[in-house]
Parts: sequence; structure tokens; C-alpha cells
Amino acid sequence: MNTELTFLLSLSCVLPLVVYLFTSQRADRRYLPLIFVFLFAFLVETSVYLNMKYFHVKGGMYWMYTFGLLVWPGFYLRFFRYMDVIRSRKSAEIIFVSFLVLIFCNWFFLYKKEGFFNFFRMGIAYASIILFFYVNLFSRQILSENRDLLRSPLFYIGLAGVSFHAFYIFTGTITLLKLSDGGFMNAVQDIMKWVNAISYLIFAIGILWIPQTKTSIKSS
Amino acid sequence: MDPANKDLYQIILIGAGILVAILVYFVVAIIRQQRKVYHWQQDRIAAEITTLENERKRIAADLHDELGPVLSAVRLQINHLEPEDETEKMVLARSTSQIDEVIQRFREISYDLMPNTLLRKGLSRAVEEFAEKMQLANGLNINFSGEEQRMQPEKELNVFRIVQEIVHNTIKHARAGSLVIELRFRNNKMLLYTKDDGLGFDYREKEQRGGLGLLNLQSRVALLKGNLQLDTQPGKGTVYNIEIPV
Repeated sequence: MNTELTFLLSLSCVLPLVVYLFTSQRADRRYLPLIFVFLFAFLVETSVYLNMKYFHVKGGMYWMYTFGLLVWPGFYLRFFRYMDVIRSRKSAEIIFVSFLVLIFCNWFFLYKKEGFFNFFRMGIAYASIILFFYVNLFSRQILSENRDLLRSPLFYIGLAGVSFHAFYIFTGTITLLKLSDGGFMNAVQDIMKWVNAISYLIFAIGILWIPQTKTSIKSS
Repeated sequence: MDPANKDLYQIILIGAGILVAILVYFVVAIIRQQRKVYHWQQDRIAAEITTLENERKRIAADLHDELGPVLSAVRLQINHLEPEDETEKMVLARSTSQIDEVIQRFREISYDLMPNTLLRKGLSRAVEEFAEKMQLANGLNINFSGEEQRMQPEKELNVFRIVQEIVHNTIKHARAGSLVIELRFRNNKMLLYTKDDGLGFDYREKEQRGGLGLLNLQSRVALLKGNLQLDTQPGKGTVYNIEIPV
């Protein structure tokens, strides 16, 4: 897959942002941390593309994605806290700090040896934590949703989150095992790029259902 | 990609396919389970509301048949007493006034339990009567306009309870000066619109605190297979738009 198509697929994170721009006026503010996740995903992907195309800073991609990994869990944990998936603030803080320690240890002890592959271990740890909460969020819909599930924003957000992070763990593990040559690894990563695009499309559908939940309810 | 890697890639694609299948199964199972739980909850709410209304009906009938005649008889007997001095006269006057109060309160309770107007004259007339009573008792300016079209008695009773709940909420929490209630029938649907100029509220905060009044409204609307839309913000009043299929 060429750089342009890769960049185009990674830009799918703009879709939920665009949808949010049109629906933000009366949108429930509890969803805002999730919007920030998409915003930072967009910034990271754009920086990675610009670096690959023009600047060629050594290790730039690693640091940009690592920056993403430092930012996303904070917003995600806040989002899960707002959605009552995480009950106490203290739990969220403990998870966040433990994750930061894990990232630091991974970088400090293994980066020199593994280079960019080192990122996948952090990515898998991150995806596992977020997937755990997404499954929780998704399955809670059974009891908490008192309307058609297909009209619930959390259903789509949960579905996209579960798909994205489950596939990330799958492809990340294969990549981390360094099963074969570079061409093979790129082919494995291509699967993730398509999953990425589909997931953001589902996220965008979820964002579309958010409006007006703060000042108004509609139940049927 | 060399042939060995090609085979491995195919295995990985199959693995990805299995992951997709698991996800699809997971989603379908969640949707089915949620629908099952939703219907079960609806049935339970319906059973609870029906039991509640039957019990109210029974209490109203008991009050009317057993307590009503006794109170009237007591009132009649008091009227026939002949006081001998001023003290007795005063006691008699006080007793008459108290028994009148009891009869008046008894009528109000009976009306709240099961309004006769609703059964005899229909929803619109019952809501109008209720609005007049509440306006007199609480000083809230209620503007009611409605069309009359008979529906099933259970449906009329539930809509009446919805109106009661909204009016009580407006008086109890909204501190509103006026309330508009409109009852219309369009395209085989009953449309109930209410708007007050009160305090309004933060829906999310209310939801977290578990407001029972709002939950009652939602349950009754769901029981009637209708739609409820609530628009409110602190300081901006409250608007209800309710649609019930006739």
C-alpha cells in the first residue's frame, strides 16, 4: 500500500470529527473526551505523514505514536468515567499511572534493542486496557439502554472501539512476533489500516446519534 | 512475498476472518439479549402499572361504597342535633365544619384515585376539570385546550396519569407561573404538548439522582408504545411532546 493511500485511510479519524462539528451545538458534553481522542489521532497521523513525506526525522514515527499513546488513555479513561464504566476517579488514576510506568519501562529497557518494534508492545498493552473498558461499555447496553440499540450512540462507539482494539491486538501481536520479512509485515499492517477506516466510519455513525442528549430526551 | 510467507499470510487472513465472525456473533448476541431484556422490562412495567391502577380502582370503589355513606350519615345526624347552650353550639359548629372538611378531602382522594369524569365524559373533559382544580388549589395559571376523541379506557387513564404527573411536577419542582397543555388528535395519534415557564432542570443530573416522576412518565409512555420528547434546561422551562398511537 502506498504512502498516500495509507495516509488517506488513516485520515478516516476525521470522519467523526466532521460529524461532531455539525452536531456539537447541543451535544452531550460527556462525549467530549472521545472527540479529543479523534482530534489527537488526526494530529498524530498528519505528523507521521508529513515526517515520512518531507522531514524524514529519524525515529519520528515512533515518538509521534508514543505521544499519542501518552495522550489517548487520559481522554479515554475520562470518557469511560463519564459513562460510569469506571466508578471511581482513583481507579482511573491508578490505571493511567500504571500504564505510564509500563510505557517508560518498555522504552527504557527495550527500545535500543528493538527499535520501532518496541512500540507494538506498548500499543498492545494500551489496546488491551481500552478493549477491556470498551467490552464493558458495550455489554452494559443490554441493561441500561431503554430504546432500540441501533439508535444508541454508545452501541456504535462500543462496536467501533471493540473492533479496532481487538484487531490492533491481533495484528500487533503478529508484528511483534516478527514472524517474517518486511513485505509480509506491511501486508499484515494493511489489514489494520482497513479496520482503522471501517472503525472510524462506525464511530462517525455513533457520533451522529449523540445530539441533544443533555437538554432533551427522546424515548420510544 | 515468498510462497512460505504467502501461506502464512493466508492463515493470518483466516484468523482475521474468524475474529470478524466472533465480533459479528458478539454484536448479534448483544442486540438479541438487549431486546429480550427490554421486552421483559416493558412487560414488568406494564404489569406493575396495571396492578397499581386496579388497586386504585378497588380502593376508590371501597371508599365510595363503604366510607361515603357513613360520612354522609354522620353529617346528617350532626345536623339533627339540637344544642342546649352556647358551648354545645360552638362544638357542633366546629364538628360540622370538620366533617365537611373530611367529606371534601375524601372526594379529592377518590377523584385522584379514579376520576369519574374520565370514565363518563372522556379524557379532554377530565383533564380540563383537573386543570381547573389544580389552578384553584395551587394558583398555577393553566391554559388547557383539547379535542375529544374516545380511546380505550386503559389508554385514557394512562394519558390522564401522565398529565397528572406533569402538572404535579410543575407545581412541586418547577415553580412556574403558567402551564400550557394541548391535547390534539392527528393521523391516528394523540398528541400531548405541555410547556411551562418554570425553573427547568439539568436532565443528566436528574437522571443520575434517579428522578421517579420522570421515570413514571417514560414507563407509561413506553407502555402505550408512544414517543416522549422532553426539552429542558436550567432556567428555560420544560416542554413535553408526547405522541400516543390511538
